[in-house]
Amino acid sequence: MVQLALFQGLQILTVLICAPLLRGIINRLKAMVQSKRGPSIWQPYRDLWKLLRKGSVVSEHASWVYHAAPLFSFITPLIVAMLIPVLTAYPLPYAFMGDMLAGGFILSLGGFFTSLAALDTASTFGGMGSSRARVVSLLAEPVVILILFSVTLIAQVTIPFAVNQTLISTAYLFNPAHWLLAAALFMVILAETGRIPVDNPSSTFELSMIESSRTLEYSGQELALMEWGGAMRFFVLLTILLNVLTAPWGLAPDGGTNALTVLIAVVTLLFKMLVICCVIVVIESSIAKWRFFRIPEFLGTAVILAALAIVFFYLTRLS
Amino acid sequence: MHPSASLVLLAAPAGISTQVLQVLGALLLLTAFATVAARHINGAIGIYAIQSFALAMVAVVVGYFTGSSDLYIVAVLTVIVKCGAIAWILRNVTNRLHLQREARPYLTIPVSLLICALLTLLAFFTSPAVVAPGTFLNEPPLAISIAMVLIGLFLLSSRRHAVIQVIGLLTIENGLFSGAIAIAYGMPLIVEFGILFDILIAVIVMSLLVTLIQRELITADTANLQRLKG
Repeated sequence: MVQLALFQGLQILTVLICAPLLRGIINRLKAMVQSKRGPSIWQPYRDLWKLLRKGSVVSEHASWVYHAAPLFSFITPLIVAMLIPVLTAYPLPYAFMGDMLAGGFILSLGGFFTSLAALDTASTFGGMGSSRARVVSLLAEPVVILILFSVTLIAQVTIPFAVNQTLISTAYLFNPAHWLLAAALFMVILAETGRIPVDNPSSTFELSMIESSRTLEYSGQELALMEWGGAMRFFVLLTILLNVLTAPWGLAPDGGTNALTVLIAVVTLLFKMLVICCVIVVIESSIAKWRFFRIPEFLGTAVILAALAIVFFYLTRLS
Repeated sequence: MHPSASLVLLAAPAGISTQVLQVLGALLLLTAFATVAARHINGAIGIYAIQSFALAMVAVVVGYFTGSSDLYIVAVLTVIVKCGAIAWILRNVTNRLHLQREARPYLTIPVSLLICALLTLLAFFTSPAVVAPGTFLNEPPLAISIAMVLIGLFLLSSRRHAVIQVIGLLTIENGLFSGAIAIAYGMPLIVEFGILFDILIAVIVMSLLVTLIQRELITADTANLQRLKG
């Protein structure tokens, strides 16, 4: 029992510690593609360390919502990390606290509070950013629900630990439904975490920002929590894509969990993350950010993929 | 070959072949959707070439598992004629046009995609009524080919750019071709020759026509052709 609690804690620690690394790797790889040297992959940690030691300037009109939002944005990905298979292939004690749908709602709670906080200080860019971010999540939400329901339809359960075993069984490994759903989820993740083609994460132009304009008002420790929370959200979503939908290999097995298998699980997870980072870098280096009014096209394509996945699932079950 | 021997030949690899065909079928359907979603004509032509290549792969897989060598020849011809010649001709024509993309489509792309999804559902619901029971390749390939025919028809009727309309016609042809493979494991070789030659000539004639439309009307927008009515 103590051991299980330890693994539960390790899962959360992995998300907490490895999340900023993703951003560092993506930035470094992107700079390398552009024939630049780029910042070190440890740069996000240095930024966080610097921000954590600074005081913050707060608008005098800010209410409690403004101060609560960084905490929500920081804590919600950590709660979701308990529900999904980050390191172990079997459910840990808290895994039955909620299913995939609950995980989606908890994650969107963080986004909801970030939007409220951007409106709270009544700054112009914050208001614009949160209205745009709401439009994107309004469009992304039906896609997420459709994907989760299709996955549930295939696996007959909503607990992520059981879903991944069904999806890599021989009946579904090469099934078009499985890969169409994975592609749709990847597109939604790109939209929800503000990556190209929906939003440019490295933009410094406030008028075109979506995600980052919501945190413009923050400084110091609260900004650090916001940034860290955003990084962890990205990490958790990619973990869902990798360890639940596409490649749940290398996880610590039931019964044989010890320090070595946990270490292997961490290393394989980071390796899978590196692969997905390369895919993201290729996408971000080859296409530009789309116009805002083309975002429905992007997410509409994801809906079509998910709908086709359901069609293929029923067909392959019939035959 | 002894009848029971051929039965064994068909029964053993059915699992693998079905999975490979499912993946290729998904690719066919996805490329059909991608031609609808493509903004630039050259993109749509490239997607058509990919679709034709996937079709050739379907022919190879079915040829391998049914042991008919005709389908290999058909696959090679498909790659040469469709991925090579037709794509090259269409690209050449498009590069000479002023209008490289659909300027003012009748329907926006998301709406078109949704309609195509509905058409696909229609195809999937009607195909079990059409297919003969007991065939080696069961419903999915046929449903996909019906969906491709419907999407091609939709492309033909909802777009104004002449080259996109040609691609709609070619998508219909690809759908019929895959349907022929799904139901009858391909047609006699001489018929396939005839169809591929026909399609090649049709594309040449249509590209000449597009060039003429462009010369007369400055654009390749077929909506302007209504003014020619006597």
